[in-house]
Amino acid sequence: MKPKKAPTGLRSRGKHWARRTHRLLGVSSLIFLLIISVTGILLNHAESLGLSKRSASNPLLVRLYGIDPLVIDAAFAANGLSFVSSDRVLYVEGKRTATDLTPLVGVVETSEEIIAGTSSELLVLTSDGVLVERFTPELPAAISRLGLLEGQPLSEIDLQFYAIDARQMQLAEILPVAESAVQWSQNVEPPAHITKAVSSAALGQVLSVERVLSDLHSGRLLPTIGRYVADLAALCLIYLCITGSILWFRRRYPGDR
Amino acid sequence: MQQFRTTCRFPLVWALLFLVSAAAFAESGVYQSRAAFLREALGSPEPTSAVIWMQKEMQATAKEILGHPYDGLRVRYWYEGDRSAWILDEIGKEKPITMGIVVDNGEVTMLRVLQFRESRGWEIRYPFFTRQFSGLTLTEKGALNKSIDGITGATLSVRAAARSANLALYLDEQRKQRLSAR
Repeated sequence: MKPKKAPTGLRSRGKHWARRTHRLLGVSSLIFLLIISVTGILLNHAESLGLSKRSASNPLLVRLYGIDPLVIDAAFAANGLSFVSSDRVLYVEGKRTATDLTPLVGVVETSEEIIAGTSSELLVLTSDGVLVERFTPELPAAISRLGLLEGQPLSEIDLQFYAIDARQMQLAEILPVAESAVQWSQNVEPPAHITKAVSSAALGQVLSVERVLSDLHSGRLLPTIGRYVADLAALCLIYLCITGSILWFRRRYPGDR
Repeated sequence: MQQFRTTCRFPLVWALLFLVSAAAFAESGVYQSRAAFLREALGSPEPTSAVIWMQKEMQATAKEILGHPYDGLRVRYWYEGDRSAWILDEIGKEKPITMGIVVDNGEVTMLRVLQFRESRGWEIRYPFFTRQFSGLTLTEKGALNKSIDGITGATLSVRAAARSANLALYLDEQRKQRLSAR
């Protein structure tokens, strides 16, 4: 093999160096270019692809973002449905149903509907768990328990019993009744698949696929270093544009030497 | 004493004192109870209440007005003759703002912020802002007939108030249609 002749002259040496660095950086930047291009295309169509609603539940990502594990405040069961409250959100069968509410104190099922109660609010739901109405009654104290007395919903507030009129959304104080006569709603351990669904739904609000892609696109996925890597990749691309243009120009107009 | 007089002369000092005191009072909370609002709106703390069920078409319109689906299948309201009072929750930035809106003959007569839960945008509770809603009606296209002046730093709360007023007018219109259909 004939050895390559070293370029002579300042311009030739410059062209040789530009070509070599262009090739080297071109190959090195390939991975970054692919990441930026693919994430850019996906972000452009995030809305139609539903990426903002999809949660990135990968444990490694969750750890990377420093997201705290799910804490279930309370869980009840009624009419075969699971009611879970976590971080001020009510999930029915793992589906986000109502937000900005205090932890559940009970869920009861009547012949017509399901009533869920928090310390300050009552929620009426259909028998299949669809939210019908929320109501914040003016209470003397917080609701502590929810139960059924002969099929009628009942709440306990400051050791007093109040009948719940779900149609008028009113509470009416009633005489004390024997504790054993009331079927109090009991806190239960939610099934594993519900906990998983709640975890995924909760995570989706905090960490959507769109957010991960956006962070990957801008280099914010890795703290501090990610930004510098993205800066470096951007500088490489600028350099490639410049050297590519120079090389193309010299080849297109060789007589200008 | 001389120093105090000098201090009083500086408008900047007064401006700062005003800002600090305003920030101290700028807290979220309950500004008016439901009973107080209903008493003011309809003259009774527990007036007759009724519900309007959100049928599919109504749900679609509500979604168009709010920019998101309405949270529930029915809306409760209180009424006295033609006058109806609506208590609606609408998210400003992250948390719901509870607003009481009175509609009389298809026209908003009163808007009150009953509860504000966020740390910014509470200025919408003041009468200089809520007064703008008096006399609002719906256009043929279902939008508000006049624009609402914004407040710097409370843009999202202002928009939430405008959306709530729009929804209350729409719901009142539906209520009247249903009553006349009976």
